[in-house]
Amino acid sequence: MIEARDLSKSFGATVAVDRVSWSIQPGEVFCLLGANGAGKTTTINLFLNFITPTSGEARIGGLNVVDHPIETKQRLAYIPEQVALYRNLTGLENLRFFTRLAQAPVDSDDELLAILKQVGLSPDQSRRRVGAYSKGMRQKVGIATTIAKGASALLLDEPTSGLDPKAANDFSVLLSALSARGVAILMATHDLFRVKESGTRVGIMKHGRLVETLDTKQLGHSDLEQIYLRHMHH
Amino acid sequence: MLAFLAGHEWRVLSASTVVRLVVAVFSVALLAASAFGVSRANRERTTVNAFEQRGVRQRAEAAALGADVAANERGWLALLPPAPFGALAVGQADVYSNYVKVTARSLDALVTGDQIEHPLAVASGQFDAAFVVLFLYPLLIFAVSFDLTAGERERGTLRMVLAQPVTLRQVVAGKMVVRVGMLIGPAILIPIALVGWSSPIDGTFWLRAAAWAVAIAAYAGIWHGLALLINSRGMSAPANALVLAGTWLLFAVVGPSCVNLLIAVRYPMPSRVEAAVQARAATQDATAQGSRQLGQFLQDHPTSANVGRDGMRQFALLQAERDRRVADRLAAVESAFDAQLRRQQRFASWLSVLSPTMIAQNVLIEIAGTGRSRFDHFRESVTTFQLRWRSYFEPRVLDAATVTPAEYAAAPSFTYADEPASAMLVRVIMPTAAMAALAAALWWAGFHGYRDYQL
Repeated sequence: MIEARDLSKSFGATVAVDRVSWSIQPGEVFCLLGANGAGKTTTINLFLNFITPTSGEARIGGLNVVDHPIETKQRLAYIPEQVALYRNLTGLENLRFFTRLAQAPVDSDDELLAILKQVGLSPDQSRRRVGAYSKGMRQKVGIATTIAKGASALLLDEPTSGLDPKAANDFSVLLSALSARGVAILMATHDLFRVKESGTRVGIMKHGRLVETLDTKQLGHSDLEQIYLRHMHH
Repeated sequence: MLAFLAGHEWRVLSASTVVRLVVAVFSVALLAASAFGVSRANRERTTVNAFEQRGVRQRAEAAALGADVAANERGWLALLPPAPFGALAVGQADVYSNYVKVTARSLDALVTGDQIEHPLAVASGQFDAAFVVLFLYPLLIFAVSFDLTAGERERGTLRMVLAQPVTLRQVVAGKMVVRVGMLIGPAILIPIALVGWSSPIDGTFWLRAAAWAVAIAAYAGIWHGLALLINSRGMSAPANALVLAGTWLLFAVVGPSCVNLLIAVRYPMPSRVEAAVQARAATQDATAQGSRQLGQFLQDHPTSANVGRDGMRQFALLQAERDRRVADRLAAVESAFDAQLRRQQRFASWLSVLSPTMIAQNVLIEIAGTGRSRFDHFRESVTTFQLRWRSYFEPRVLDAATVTPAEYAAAPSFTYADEPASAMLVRVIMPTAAMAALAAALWWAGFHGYRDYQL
């Protein structure tokens, strides 16, 4: 569902992403782990078609994102570190805007309120202006957009960074629910704990390259930390 | 999709106090300027009507009077009524006279249009709808457009939007549609509504209204296009604002000032006082010579009793000859003055391509009917009328005849008939098309620039 085929991106002489390949299946949560500048966000940007690859392909649902930008974005949802919403609009209005923009079948306010409730925002909270929302609440609107849109692929860029433990835990629960619905998830993160808890596979990136791919079920928390640190120190 | 994006943009923008303020200030300024203009035009219309009625009354009530008195002392006041859309732009109306006294000898002194007016000069003197459109409108376009995408990019909402099945160009187009719509509506509708409310609506009205709308759209298109182009360079919102303010200063203020300076250096015009002095000097000899001959005649005929009808005719001939000599000398000074003015105007019209504000200024005053061409047409009509007036009265004056009330009533009279509106269209079509072409090029360059916009 989310597939990289020898995907590379260079900015001048700097290679930001170097021939990475993977295939993330429906229901799978693939976590990209790496230091700052490892190429995680660039990889996400390539899948969003915000930048074009130097070589290789980024594919969503079997379609190349460069050749089919609109079709791939219809199947895709994106939650960045800071879910940016329109501050003057309410959570409900923001959700309505993004779902209509995505031409999603969900349209009525009742349906949208039900989805917002499902992710933990009460109708009262949903009708408040987003300017008054906490970061965790904005993340929930982001998850609600994914659900309302019926996305089959989800890209997350440091989604739990800066969240308090309770909000981060709530977020993990929602992520697991999306995974259970068959959504393929690619999550760039620094958070080893969250990787172990939510991820099904983990890829470690260094200097733009995917240096190791691991199955999280076969790892203990300390194993993952040791492997990660070993890669960072070499 | 475009309508949906525009609707969303409208919701976001209309929630902004600054944007609401911009639209309110623009509407109030247009309303005030148009209302002042309507009031000015109404006053002018009342004055013209009063003078016209006085002329008709004087003619109807006249007893028998000398032909010279009827033809020259009374003469006929040719009046130019307010221009059809004169309420919207003062234009050259404060430079050229809207009346000319016609006599059998000559027209009034013709040295009136002694200074060419460029946008800045007109703007500093008059507050009208054209001024608001030419100078305030671009600033307000920039006020709502300097942050077309930069702010959303910094806040991150642009990435969220573009993660949906929509292109950046569609998003930008939606933003542009709203910004154009929210300002162009008042710019077109408020002035036209006020003019329509205050004057009769006929076919010409709609033609001028349509021309006004198209010219405003083309002019606004240039500034919107410029804003789009600068936004597409990917700078921050404050940097965009700075560049746009500089552009406005260059094209709307510095450009016209430089053009004015160039004109003054290349084709300097004598001042009104200097022209009057030149005219007086030129006519002095002719006047003195004529007066000597008349004086001699009066010395030869110390009382009117021994003059007789032939003597009176001789006196009238001498007088007419003196007047002709004076008129010829004056015409020479005036034609030199007019030739310099035409050179200035031709040069100005070439240089106006350096500033869209100057092009739009010329177009708007042409549409309003307060441009030089209407005054030229009025002048030509009056000159033709003066020939008729002279040919009617001159034989009677030279014959030293008395004009009966019936003859006086049958003398020619002058009522100004405007040029057909198609003549105005011919004059504005090219500059308007040039503005539209420039606007289209800027829009194209702006959208093209967004191809490489960095998120």
